[in-house]
Amino acid sequence: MRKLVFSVFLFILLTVPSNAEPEPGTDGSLIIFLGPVQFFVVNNSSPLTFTYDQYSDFGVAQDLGDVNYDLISNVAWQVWGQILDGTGGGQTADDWDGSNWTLSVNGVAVNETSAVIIDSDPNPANRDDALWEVLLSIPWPESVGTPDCQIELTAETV
Amino acid sequence: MQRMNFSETERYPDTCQHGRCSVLHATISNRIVLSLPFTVIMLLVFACAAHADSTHNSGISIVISEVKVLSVDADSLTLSPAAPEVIVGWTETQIWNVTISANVEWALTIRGTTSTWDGPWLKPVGDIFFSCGGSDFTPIETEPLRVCTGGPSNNEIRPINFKIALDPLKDIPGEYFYGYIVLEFETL
Repeated sequence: MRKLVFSVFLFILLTVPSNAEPEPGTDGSLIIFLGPVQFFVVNNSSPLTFTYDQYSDFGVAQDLGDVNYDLISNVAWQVWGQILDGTGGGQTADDWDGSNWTLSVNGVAVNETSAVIIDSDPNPANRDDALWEVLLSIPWPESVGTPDCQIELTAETV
Repeated sequence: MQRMNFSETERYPDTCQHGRCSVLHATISNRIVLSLPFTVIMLLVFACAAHADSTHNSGISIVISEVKVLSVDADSLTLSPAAPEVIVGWTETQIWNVTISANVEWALTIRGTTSTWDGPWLKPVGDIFFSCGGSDFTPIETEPLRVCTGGPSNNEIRPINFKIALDPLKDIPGEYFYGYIVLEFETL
């Protein structure tokens, strides 16, 4: 009888801890160091064009089309715009009358002398295929020609 | 020859007056004194005889309990996502190598201890995704989710892939900490 009792006791001694303890496991942590992130790209593959062939086309803002862009920023951001009238991209230099013509992007007039903020937000952004309307107003009269320019758009975090 | 002529009384002169009675008394006393060792010896003899006649194996009884051991190759994973990762919406996949030794069938589970990260905002635990053995990535929860299963093994390595969803509208710059991701054996 003693042997039996001892055996039972031994059995319990060996098996109970295995059943009573929680299942073994391990753990780990994750750490992310995230800095300011900004991504900006203009998707237009061809220039915006407009033909002034009627008198009524002059003196009023004409819709040249839209700048299609993607903008991702996880911090406050702003985008600057400036007219470039050089030879970049096959353009004809110095044929844009920035003094008398009004070119606006997203409702903000841009010029050749300095960059201006055309859009901004104190909050993060995640814009995909977003649009900025481009308007141009040329006062009457204007001589025949094919003036061109580039609009330089620059995004930055704030 | 002379001894054969002795009477019983002569042989035991210091006993009671009835010589024969003395002889009987002495014989009984000796038997009483010798009876215990005699019995033991006889038992041993019988025991030896019994052993000689049959095979008897000594019994050894052991209990091997269920043993499962688990370890990972890193206590923590540190990530510094670059702009392309934020743009894509995922960190690059990280790998945790889990080493398993078990003497039974096993199933491994994973869970998070808290529902959110510590950081600039309460990034949910569900932004952590795991995958094992080429399975689809699954968001982690605070309840255990089965990762993989296996049989008895010795230092078997199972890589678990992790990636973290990133949302530029919410994941503003800063340090995010999540503790802890728990890997446990599931009771089968």
